[in-house]
Amino acid sequence: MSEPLLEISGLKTGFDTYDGRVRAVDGVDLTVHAGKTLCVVGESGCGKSVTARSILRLVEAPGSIDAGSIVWRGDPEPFDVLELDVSDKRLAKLRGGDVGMIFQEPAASLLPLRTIGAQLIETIRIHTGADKKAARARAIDLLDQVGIPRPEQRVDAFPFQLSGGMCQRAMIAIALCANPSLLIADEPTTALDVTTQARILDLIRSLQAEYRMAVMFITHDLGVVAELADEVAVMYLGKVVERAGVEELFADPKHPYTKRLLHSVPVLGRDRGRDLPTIPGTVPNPLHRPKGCSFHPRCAEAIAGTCDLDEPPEIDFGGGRTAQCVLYADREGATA
Amino acid sequence: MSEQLLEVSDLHVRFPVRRNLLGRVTVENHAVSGVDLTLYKGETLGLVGESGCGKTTLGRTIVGAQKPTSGSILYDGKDLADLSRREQAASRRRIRLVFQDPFSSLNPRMTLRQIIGDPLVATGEARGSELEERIAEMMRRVGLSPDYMERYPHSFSGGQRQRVNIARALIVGPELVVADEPVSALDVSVRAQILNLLRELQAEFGLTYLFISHDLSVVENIADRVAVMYFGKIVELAGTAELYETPHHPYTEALMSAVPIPDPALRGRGGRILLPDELPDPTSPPPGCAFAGRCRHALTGRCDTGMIPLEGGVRCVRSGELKLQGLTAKTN
Repeated sequence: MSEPLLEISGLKTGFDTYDGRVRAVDGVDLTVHAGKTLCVVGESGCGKSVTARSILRLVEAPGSIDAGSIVWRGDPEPFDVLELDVSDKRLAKLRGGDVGMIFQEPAASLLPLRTIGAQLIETIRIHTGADKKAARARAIDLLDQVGIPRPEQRVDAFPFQLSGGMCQRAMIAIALCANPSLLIADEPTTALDVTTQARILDLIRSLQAEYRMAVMFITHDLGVVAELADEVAVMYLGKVVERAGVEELFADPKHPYTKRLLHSVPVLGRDRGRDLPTIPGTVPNPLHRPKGCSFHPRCAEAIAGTCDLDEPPEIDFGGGRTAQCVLYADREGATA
Repeated sequence: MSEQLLEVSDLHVRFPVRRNLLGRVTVENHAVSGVDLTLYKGETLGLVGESGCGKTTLGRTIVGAQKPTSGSILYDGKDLADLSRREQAASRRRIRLVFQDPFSSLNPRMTLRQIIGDPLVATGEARGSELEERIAEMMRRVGLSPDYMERYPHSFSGGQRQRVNIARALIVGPELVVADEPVSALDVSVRAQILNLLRELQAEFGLTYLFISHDLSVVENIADRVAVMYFGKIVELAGTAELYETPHHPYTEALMSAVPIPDPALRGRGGRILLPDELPDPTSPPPGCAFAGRCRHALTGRCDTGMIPLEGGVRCVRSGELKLQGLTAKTN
């Protein structure tokens, strides 16, 4: 196992609403290892995006980070991102420097009134201190690397002149401009067509190999997870309910939620014309989080009197495998 | 196969993009350009394609929400364009649409009773206690408790709203339902519920579905036959098993190869075909095959000239000589 690059522990992030405080992230522990891909998978409202945004302190009012630590080990002297002052140079260096970030809606995350070149050059100059000419050359070089044809012309294009896939490539180029050691990708292919998605995933994979970057990839698509991940964290209602290596997770899912999720998704070649096993109910509103295990109202294996009352224990199976479920509490080889 | 229900022939839909000084259209977007399609009673026809291929426009034209530029749509042997007002109103009850986004397709200021009952009220078909009874019955049928009748859409999740959408479509007893990406906006854990519900309702009411989606796995699950659309045209049409096992159009092949399979053991297998991103300009479709510019099998002189017809369910001049990879290349 390689070195941990980023360690999140006990992270809690909440949002104030008229109906009370919503704890979007409710005690998350995650580790991203250098050069590896961690996929965070979950449905809407599970807190996967908020976790990602918390890393760079991008949570805006009415939201705020309430507790936890996010330790960055990419510097010779590790530091807790949450303890930095907002004007701290280390935070500025992290954002867009050591940590690049790409978002779901590429066209919406780029400034519409500035050329992609201008947006790239600005970031390059901030993080490398290059002069205008060198930064422009580097911008063209980066656009070429992410597979944008005719980069010397496209550098002067506005986002609306490019397709969704091209905009996402431009976003990736911006994220890469200071050779980050971590790339955070928040559903970067969800808004794209499958053929475009395949190319973007391919690109991320090859860039990762080339730059030895770690990638934290957030998605709801289990197919994408199988394609890309080394390690997987499954989130449900603000908590990590299962952690595993990618092969183990698909071969032997532990948490009832993971199991049911893997079965309920139609898979090419497997589910032609047949009724699909379902997970009953819907994801609860995080304002009205069920007592005990958040998944218990939808869980077929829930134990009355236990799952609906007590917080499930985090079971450690060793080798980085965990599951938050009482079903494994007294199994051999597992420690709570 | 059973009786024919709907027949679309040589359908064209063009949207004006730019006009000259005299108001004459100079640039047009060819959303649907020459679609022939037959729907049989009781079947589910899947319509797949990427964004911008014209699949939504085709669906909207079939339900009458969009006027065709040319071509005809025969429903039960009658051209929908030639119907009188009264007949049009009747045909609207026989063909219904289920929308993609359950968040924007329900009026937030209407209660479920008003939303679901609206088609009955508008046609004056039921009122009073009969109306109430029919709404309650429909709600039960799609898995919603009639106790929710006085609530507003905001208090429901995506999956429940999609049930409302389905109830609204089915309450007038349609024969054909055009479902435009009905599960795409839903959480993965509720998609299966809605797909199963659609299947149940089809069996119970003898419905015919035109199921529009970009998701090949979902379409494989629900469809009997599948039409693949590219750039305003159907490029391949076949039975689901046949299309997925042995595709005959290079676009179908590429589309299938791009779908990620949730099994890490298969990673890197299945000869993924990477397509160039660039799409042709929809305002001036290229001659010949619209896919030729991205196709790895394209030949200059053969694929880029003339008009390529849909023959034997495939619109490709080279389909006879190519051996394309299907699903088995991915999963074996």
